[in-house]
Amino acid sequence: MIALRNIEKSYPVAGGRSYVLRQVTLDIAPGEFVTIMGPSGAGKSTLLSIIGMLDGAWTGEYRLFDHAVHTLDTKKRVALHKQYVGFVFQQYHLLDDLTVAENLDIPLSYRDMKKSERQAVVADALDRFGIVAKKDLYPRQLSGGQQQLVAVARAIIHKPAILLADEPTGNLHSAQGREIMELFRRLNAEGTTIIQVTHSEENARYGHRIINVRDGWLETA
Amino acid sequence: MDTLGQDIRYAIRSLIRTPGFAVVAIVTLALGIGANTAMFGIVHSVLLQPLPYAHPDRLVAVSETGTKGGDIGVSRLDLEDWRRSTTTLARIAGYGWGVTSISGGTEPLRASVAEVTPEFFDVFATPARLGRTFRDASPSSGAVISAGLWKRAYGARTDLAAMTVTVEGQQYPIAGVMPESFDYPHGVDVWLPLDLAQDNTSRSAHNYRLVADLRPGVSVGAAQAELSSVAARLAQAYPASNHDIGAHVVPLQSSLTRNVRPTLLLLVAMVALVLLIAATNVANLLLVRATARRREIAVRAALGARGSRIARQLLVESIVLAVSGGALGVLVAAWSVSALRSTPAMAQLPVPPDMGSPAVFAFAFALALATAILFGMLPAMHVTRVNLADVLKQTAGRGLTAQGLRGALIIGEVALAAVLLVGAGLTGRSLLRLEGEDIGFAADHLLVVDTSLPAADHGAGWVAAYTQLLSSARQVPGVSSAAITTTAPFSGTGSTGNFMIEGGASPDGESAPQAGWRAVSDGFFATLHVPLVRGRDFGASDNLDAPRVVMINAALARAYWPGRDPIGARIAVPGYDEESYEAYKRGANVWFTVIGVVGDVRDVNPGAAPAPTLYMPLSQHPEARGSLAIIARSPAPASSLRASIAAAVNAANPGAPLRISALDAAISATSATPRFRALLIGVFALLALTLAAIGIYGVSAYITEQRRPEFGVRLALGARPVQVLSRVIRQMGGYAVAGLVIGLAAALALGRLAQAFVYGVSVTDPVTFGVTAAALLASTLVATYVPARRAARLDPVIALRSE
Repeated sequence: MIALRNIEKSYPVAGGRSYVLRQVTLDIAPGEFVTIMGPSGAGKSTLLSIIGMLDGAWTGEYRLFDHAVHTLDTKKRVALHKQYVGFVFQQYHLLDDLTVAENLDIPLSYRDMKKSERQAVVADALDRFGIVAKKDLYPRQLSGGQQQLVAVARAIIHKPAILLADEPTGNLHSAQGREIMELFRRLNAEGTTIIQVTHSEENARYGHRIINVRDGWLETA
Repeated sequence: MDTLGQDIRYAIRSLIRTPGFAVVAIVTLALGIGANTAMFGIVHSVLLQPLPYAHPDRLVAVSETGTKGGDIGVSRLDLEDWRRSTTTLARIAGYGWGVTSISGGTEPLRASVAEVTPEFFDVFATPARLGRTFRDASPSSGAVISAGLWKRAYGARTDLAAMTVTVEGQQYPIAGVMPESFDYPHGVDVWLPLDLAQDNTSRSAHNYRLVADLRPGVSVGAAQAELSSVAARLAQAYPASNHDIGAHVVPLQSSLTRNVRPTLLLLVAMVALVLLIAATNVANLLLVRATARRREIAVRAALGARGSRIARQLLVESIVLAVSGGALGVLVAAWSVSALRSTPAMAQLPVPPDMGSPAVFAFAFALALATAILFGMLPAMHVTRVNLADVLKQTAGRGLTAQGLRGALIIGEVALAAVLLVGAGLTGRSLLRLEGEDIGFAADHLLVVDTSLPAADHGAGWVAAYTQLLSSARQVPGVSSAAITTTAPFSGTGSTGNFMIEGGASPDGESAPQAGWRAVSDGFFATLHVPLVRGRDFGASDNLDAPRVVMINAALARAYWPGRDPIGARIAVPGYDEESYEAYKRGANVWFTVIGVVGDVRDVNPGAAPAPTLYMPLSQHPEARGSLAIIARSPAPASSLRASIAAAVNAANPGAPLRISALDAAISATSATPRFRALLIGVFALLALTLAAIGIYGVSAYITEQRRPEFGVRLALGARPVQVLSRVIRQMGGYAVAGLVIGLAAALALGRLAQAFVYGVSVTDPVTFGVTAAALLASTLVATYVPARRAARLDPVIALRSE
């Protein structure tokens, strides 16, 4: 499903280049729940951004299903991203000016879905995540856990094959964190491939395998 | 489509959540769009809107051109030749007009009266709204009056048969009332039939203005070519009078707007700069806002939004802003034009501005949309280019590129403001020069009473009547001196014609000596405080039985008797009165002896050099009867005399209409256009300066906020607050100086184009340029100081902790 070969990412610096990722080769199968770990600055989030096609400046080969991502232009990568990927961030990144329901609606509207269909999908998601009562609230009116719940709902509302989560529980207390991880486990059981970046050993245990990144190199693949 | 509605909803909500930003942006745009819409409203009505007649594109003004190339009136004989020869013009109507006394309505009054040839109304293809226009040129054809006069003076009565108007003693039945929209010549209330057959003047008497209608399908160029060739033929046939006399045909609308067009176009250019500054400010605000919203935009992209969709969202926000600004701008425009309506310059416009026209709304909307697209795109393009991953990780730089862009915008708006300030400085200083010009007499404390004497009196009777009138005025308590003239200074009337000096050239033709003519009573020069340079003033001895005398001004003396004494010299003015003309036709002359030379006065336009002028004594020219002006001086404010002088004049001349005005107000009215220009450009410049200062403040505040951590580190490392302060001021000062250099260079380059609008100052006037630079630098300093001081007072611990 995901095949990375010799992925490298670097920045020019005086007298050479500074590498963020070195010769990353990695395969992830459909339905896997993978955890990426490593110290701060090791390149974990960069790797996640490359897999999620938010970052386009790298070298190497990247195949997603039968698409050779490394050969595609930005427009096609954006289309692939829209088709397959959902993102959950540590800071939730909900849109402050939109209500819960509108935040859920946004990814669907970006996929040119008709309004009537969107309304049905959003209503379904609100129900499924138990946040119907919060649908007209703004993010600032929710707790951190509730915000992350909405963020996860928003990430999977368009039914992506892959859910990428960057420190999804980093800003939550442990009970809220566990709730989110249980949600991830259920989503994975339903078939969503999940790749998470975390510092938490406890969260890592929810996954099938752990990939360690250190100074840009993969220690386990 | 529903996603567009969603974008609009979110845009409105987002603006409501940031009211400070929204209000500043909307008000800024409203000022820019409002000022431009106001100017468009005026320009649209005056220059773009077709004249309200049946075939506006076929109406042309026709004139002759003199040796100096300027348009002059057309002589009766030339007009008749043109009529016989033309195949391009369907009709040519001649006319002339002036202000005089009329009666017949509710009360006697002063009104604009035109004499027009019978085909005049046919040229405009405009029938009367009530009654008819002229059947022929005889007085029995009646008078036609304006809808305004009909309502004002006749109470909109419909019994035309019972209505008459008396103009200078002659009574006319009222034949018809014109529709409200008919206003040609501008401001005329009474049209009388003009019989050219009664005019026996020569070809050198260019007495008539002409208006004509082109035959269908004929171009102005074709009519011009035809009349030019007729004029060339006449020049060959009558070289004495028609040497170098040409023809000029222009669309009537161009002719009507000739005087105001350059000023309006200048103002349009100036006000466009204000919009550019306003839009630059809003672009800057949007850029700041977009930079602050990079996280949101990155999230949207991460959720699948295409770059174009994000750009659309931002664009929709700027459109919502601009449309709100445009709507408010329309109100600003309507209010501004209504405030300007009372200015004399607006009253002089040939067509009053119509701010309710759909075109005005369409313009404001189009302007708002164009502004939104042009200036909303810049931040939209900028912000959609950021690296999403970096923004989401919050490791993106602090927008140094955007800082460069903001600097460029500040440079741009300072440059634009500099151009406007130079414009304001030059027009303002021109106005001061113009109004400070020595007009050759003391205009304050002078009251002008426009009136008329019964036309039935003539000869000695008329002289006695005006002497009686003058005597009554002089006896009014508070009047220190008074005089009568047929041509009050700055009344906008006056005659000019040829004269000959005894032993000199014939007065026929363009090369003959020319002078202005004025008929005045004794005491005229003393009342106005015009100095007597040589000889004597008119006196009681200069009566009808005495030899004819004349006084001249110094300009005429210098021109025709350079280094010599003109006193005792004799001149003839064949066109001045009937007696002179009759004598001239017989090959003789009526000679006027020069008895005095007076100082030069500028009595037409304070900016025009005094022209050679002849002054005739009223006591020897009873034919000058008709409209008169009593000029009275008082040591007290002239307005205090109004009631008493009106009573005295009424008692001496019962039933005559009166119009009383202060002479300095009339002088002020002559500089109405330059004052209007200076006022508007001054307002635009002030607006530009304020907007530029707001822009500079906004950017300084933003940059200072962005550099908080840096300043915190600097302060923690021992920098003194003043060093931090000076860093901010230096950065903004650098932008201001760059903008100033560009703006002043542009103003220098554009100065040549503004030459026609300045008076008495150079377009490179160093004072104006210096004051502009000082004003902009001072504004920059003030606008930068507050954020800079805030930066200098940072607590480094807090600044670094917030990082």
